Amino acid sequence: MSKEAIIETRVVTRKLEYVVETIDLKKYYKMGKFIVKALDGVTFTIKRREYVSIMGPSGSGKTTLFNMIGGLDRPTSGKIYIDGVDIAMLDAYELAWLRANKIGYIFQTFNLIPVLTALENVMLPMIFVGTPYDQAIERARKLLEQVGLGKFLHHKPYELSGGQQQRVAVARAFANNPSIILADEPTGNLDLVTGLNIIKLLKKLNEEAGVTIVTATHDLKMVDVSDRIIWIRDGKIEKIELRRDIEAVVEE
Amino acid sequence: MGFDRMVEEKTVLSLNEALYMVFHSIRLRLGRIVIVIVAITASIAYMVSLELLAKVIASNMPPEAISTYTLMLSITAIVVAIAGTMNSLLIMIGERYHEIGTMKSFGARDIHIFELLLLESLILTIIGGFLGYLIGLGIGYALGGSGDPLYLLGKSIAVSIGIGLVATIYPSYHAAKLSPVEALRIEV
Repeated sequence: MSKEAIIETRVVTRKLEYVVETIDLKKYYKMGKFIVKALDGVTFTIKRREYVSIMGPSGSGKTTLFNMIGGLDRPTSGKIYIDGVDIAMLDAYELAWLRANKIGYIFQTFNLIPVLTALENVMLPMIFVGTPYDQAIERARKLLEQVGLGKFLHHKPYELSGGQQQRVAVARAFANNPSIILADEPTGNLDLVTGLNIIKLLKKLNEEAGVTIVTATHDLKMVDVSDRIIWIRDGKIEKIELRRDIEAVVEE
Repeated sequence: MGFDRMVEEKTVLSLNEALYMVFHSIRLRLGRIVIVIVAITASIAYMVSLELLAKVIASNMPPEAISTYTLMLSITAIVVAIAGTMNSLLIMIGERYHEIGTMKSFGARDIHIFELLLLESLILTIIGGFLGYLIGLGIGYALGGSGDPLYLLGKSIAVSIGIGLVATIYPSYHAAKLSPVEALRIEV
């Protein structure tokens, strides 16, 4: 039986229209004598093909929520379903499988592997899941062309500008055809124009590839392309806004 | 390619893939790598020359004392080598936590990370062992020592691999076990 089938029979399968579903999600950290409530009862759903931004000040719990959605961290209590799979039910091995196949990350600091070329960086996630070498090369090349780096296949990260590095990271995130792309402050280290280009690129891929995109950000440029904005404050959801509502307010 | 290939689990990287990554990693981090190699080289050179010169050094000792004496000195050389190698390997791995966290968030499993780190340090220690052997042999013969060079070659490589394993297994295991969040958060 395939790994996927095993996971699906082992865990409760939720409604598959939601790619992310959280129920009363809590994460407490113990800092010495104090308990820090990084997340304190967060419930929301994200639909397939949606472009959602999670906004909030630093320390609001954005990154914690993000790590949770990405299967990088486990909640103290509450449930989180990724593509219908309850991540609390997965062991370390299955979690690695989930991260490899269902989720693509984009980091604020790009996090490319410095010793590998752009092409090899994009190939890396495919190699971890066992894609044959020539197929991985072919797909990586296509992805890099899609993000406009067809001429930079064999450049090392330090030979690329910040914006180009982030493009490589975007291509890498799409390598294994994930259900969700998680972008943590993707424009945080970029200037205004470059940041805007990355946002446009994400939106384009969201529309073309039909992938769900979740970004954590305090970049207001992101509002223009998001379908929904989830505002987080002190570990709780402050409000959830639809973009059309915001646009309506602006027009008035 | 069939459906089977898609879902087949991959437990380790193929030797080619791993060697490729390790090779590039060594090339780009030459500074650190040289320190690791020097630590190994120095102690293996010491060990080899000691063995060649044992008879010269201890010419006025009773024969049964000679072997104990050289054994003690060899042990000292190995202990120093382990300490030096472990130290530089720990720093090398520490510098790489971000990379490890990134790989893990893209689905690398513990075994992948462990494999890469272990392979890299084995390559380094074998290079160090061989260089140490050559230098030790040079010093030993120059100072009028004698011995079986083939036996010493085997011993040098075996000892350096042993040092490599002892010095690497714990740090690599620890690094491989880190959760992606922890690995990405660590600032060295």
